[in-house]
Amino acid sequence: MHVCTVAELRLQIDSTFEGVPVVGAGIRDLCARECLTPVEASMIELAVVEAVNNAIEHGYQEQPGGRIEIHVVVTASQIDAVITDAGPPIDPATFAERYEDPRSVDRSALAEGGRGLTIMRGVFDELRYARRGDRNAVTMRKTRDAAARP
Amino acid sequence: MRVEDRCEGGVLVLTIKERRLDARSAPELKAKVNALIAQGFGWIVLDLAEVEFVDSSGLGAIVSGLKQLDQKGDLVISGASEPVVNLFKLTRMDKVFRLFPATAEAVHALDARVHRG
Repeated sequence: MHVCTVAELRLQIDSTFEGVPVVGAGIRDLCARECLTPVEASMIELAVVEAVNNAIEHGYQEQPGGRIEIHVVVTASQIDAVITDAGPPIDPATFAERYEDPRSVDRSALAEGGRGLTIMRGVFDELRYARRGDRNAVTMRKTRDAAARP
Repeated sequence: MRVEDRCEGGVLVLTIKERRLDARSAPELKAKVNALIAQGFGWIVLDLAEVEFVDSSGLGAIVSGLKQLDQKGDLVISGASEPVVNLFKLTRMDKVFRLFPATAEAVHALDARVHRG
């Protein structure tokens, strides 16, 4: 019998999109080992990838040479993810919830971007931002569905 | 970015032959779709059956295609896996795009609209 305990993933990648699929693969592997379904694992991967993409785009303006750290911890009761970058401090207002009702906007007025935070908030229960020393830290937490736990 | 395109009646079917539609591949998809729309294709099925992962950049490229179409045409999605459907729901884009389980069904629905004029 496989017993699920605390498991974690620590990764560092350079600030380019080339390294992002590696993060995704690591998260899927971690989540599979910790008894999450493939769909749940994909959603965790998606939210973390959005945070990493934001770090590359906004923290480092898509320039290589910056370090992004990813730390994901999965326990029987919850999933925690922390993504940090050394970009300039982020205005906390950026993290305010925005509501887009696509039915009320004309097709041509739809935004092409800006949905990353919506996704992160939709997948995880909590989304927080803090400045830790000279790094930005985006923290996400999700409680695991009790019924689905082993 | 590998994309196969074929016409079925008055409908253009674009099959994405990649596993990931992400920040690396999105600019290329956007350019490809916009070039086809500029050539006059207005009824498009985007077949995502082989795509395992789409992020907000990939979604942005798909939204970009829809924005280029005039109100007569449409761009619909077929074959999206459960995580990809979840992405559309989380961002409420399931209210903007019609999602079909199978490409044939999507082509049939669009073709009926082409002939209605």
